[in-house]
Amino acid sequence: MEEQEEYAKLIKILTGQEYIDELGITPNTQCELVFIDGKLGISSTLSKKLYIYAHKEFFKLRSKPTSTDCDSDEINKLSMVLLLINPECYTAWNTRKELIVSKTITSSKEFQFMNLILTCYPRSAELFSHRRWLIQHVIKSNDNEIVALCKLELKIAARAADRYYSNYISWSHRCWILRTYLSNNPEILLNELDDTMSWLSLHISDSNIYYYRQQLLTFLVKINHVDSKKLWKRELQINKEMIEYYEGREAMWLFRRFLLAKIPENDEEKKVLYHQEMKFVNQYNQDEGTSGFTWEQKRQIHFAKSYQIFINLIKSDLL
Amino acid sequence: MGTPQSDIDIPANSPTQLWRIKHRDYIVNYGKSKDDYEYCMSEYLRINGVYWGITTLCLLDQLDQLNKTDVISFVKSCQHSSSGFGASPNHDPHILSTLSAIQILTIYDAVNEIDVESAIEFVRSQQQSDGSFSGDKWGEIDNRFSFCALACLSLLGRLDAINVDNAVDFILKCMNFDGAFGCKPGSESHSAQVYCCVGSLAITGRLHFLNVDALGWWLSERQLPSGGLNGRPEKLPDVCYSWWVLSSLAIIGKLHWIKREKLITFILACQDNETGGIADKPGDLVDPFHTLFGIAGLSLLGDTTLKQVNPVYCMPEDVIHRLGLKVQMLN
Repeated sequence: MEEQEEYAKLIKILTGQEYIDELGITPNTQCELVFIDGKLGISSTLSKKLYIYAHKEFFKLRSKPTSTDCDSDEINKLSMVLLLINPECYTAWNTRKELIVSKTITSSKEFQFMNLILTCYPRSAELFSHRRWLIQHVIKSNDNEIVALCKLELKIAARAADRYYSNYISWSHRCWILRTYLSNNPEILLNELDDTMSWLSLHISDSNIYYYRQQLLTFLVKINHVDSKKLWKRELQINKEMIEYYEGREAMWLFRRFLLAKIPENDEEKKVLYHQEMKFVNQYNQDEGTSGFTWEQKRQIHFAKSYQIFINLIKSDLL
Repeated sequence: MGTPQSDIDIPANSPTQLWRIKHRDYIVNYGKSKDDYEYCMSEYLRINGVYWGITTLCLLDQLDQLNKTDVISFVKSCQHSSSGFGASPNHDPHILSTLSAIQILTIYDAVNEIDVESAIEFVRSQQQSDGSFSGDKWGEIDNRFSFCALACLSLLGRLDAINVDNAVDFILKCMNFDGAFGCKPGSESHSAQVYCCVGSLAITGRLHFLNVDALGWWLSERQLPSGGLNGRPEKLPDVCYSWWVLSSLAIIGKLHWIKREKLITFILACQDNETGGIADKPGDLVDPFHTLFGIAGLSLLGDTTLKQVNPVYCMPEDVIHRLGLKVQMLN
């Protein structure tokens, strides 16, 4: 059977010595499997045939009441092929968890496997869920390397965010790593603030990045970091410049509401700040219905009006 | 720098009336012409798909178009021995599938056809010490699973099986500065998670913990000039948010904070008048998921040609009424 041959070829590549750094399902009507310079390409026609085959065999083996070592090995391979094509098949990930627990698969190989899938499916919810399980599993048996592991995870999440615009799932993962393991680590918090600044300048409308910076600033305040207030004010200034330069970006305006409401200042300082903010936003006090405005200008006026309402609300302590 | 517009333009010749019969036919025929590959690929969410289809047909008052026995038989085959339900036979049990199973059986008034006690025990056993719920024994936490647990158990009249106070505590930990909710504590606000959390608080009668004005404002800001609703700031509108945002607004008594007519226009424009069904945006491919949420959204907006939908359970109101279930709603 053709799919059995192609399946065997794919397994040989997946279990071989050569490192695979990228996966792609190519829009190709031929049945092709290509592996060059670490790039693995499966034509969509072939991927469909492989999936049907691997799916059938996987579930046949999975429903066996008892399994041998040979079965474990086979189900490992079948699940790899399944997940290369459909990483949302949660039962296949569960099988791999069982194999990790029984030490048939090593954690490092599993991280590698997931990293490969992420090159093709950067926002797979089931993959990141499996990843979080593996991280917790690894840390349970060896908590020496938590920080190193987490630093790597932040990079992986960042890379996945790069591959798909406004990737809630990868950013959610990054937030989880930060909150669960790194919220007390000032060096990493500051580093992340720097690191995401350059990312922000390239993704100015991505609400994920603003929320992430909210979290970073909040954690810095929580650990009473000496620079937290200075960094907060700096953030307000950067945000102001961005709002003025890039018109009509909702995410920037919403971030400003947070910065204003949660700034670590006393009431007197806040009163001064609210006054300054009112002056700032007054420059957009126009009728957005007036003709001649671009889409962006209309949105800018609209968000400025909402921000004005917001300032008045927090001034009167209603929010 | 070029500004991509974060909204869509509704095409000039978009549908302006609801194609009820076409949607019925789309759902009834869905899956019949699927090839092997598509069938395999969608197994991991099959039971959810059945719930979407059934609920759509209920709202269209066309449930009799499906074979009740076949559906119940399928649902039964998804239950693991002494446990919960998987998405298809031989797929591992999960709380998402378990809720869909209970919803389907509740609609058919056939809950007693399955091992109810085991399903309850499966759900109960997902609750953690901090009140959160995992999806299955592997431990992923998400407030979607909290909603699944609370919805499931309340439909079965067994909220007593879990610690409700702790469950609520965890939900509230997921609240952000803007009054909305992310998937876990410390995650960005997302409309679908808002629905799960607001629904959970409605089921447990704890809506007073919400910052209603802040949340209502955040939700109303999901409406874009095209009339469609998005899931988060600066995202494109998507019909499924017509459900999650709308039902949340309905529960907190702020449905009037969005422009009703504009949203109706948007949803109707997402129909495909050739194949039937509703897509995420005008002109895109349709699917049962968006078909349900488009129709449920229209029901919530007052379309009297559709049956009334319950905003907490996304199930027909008459089914919830039959159970005598009371959920909290704010005026």
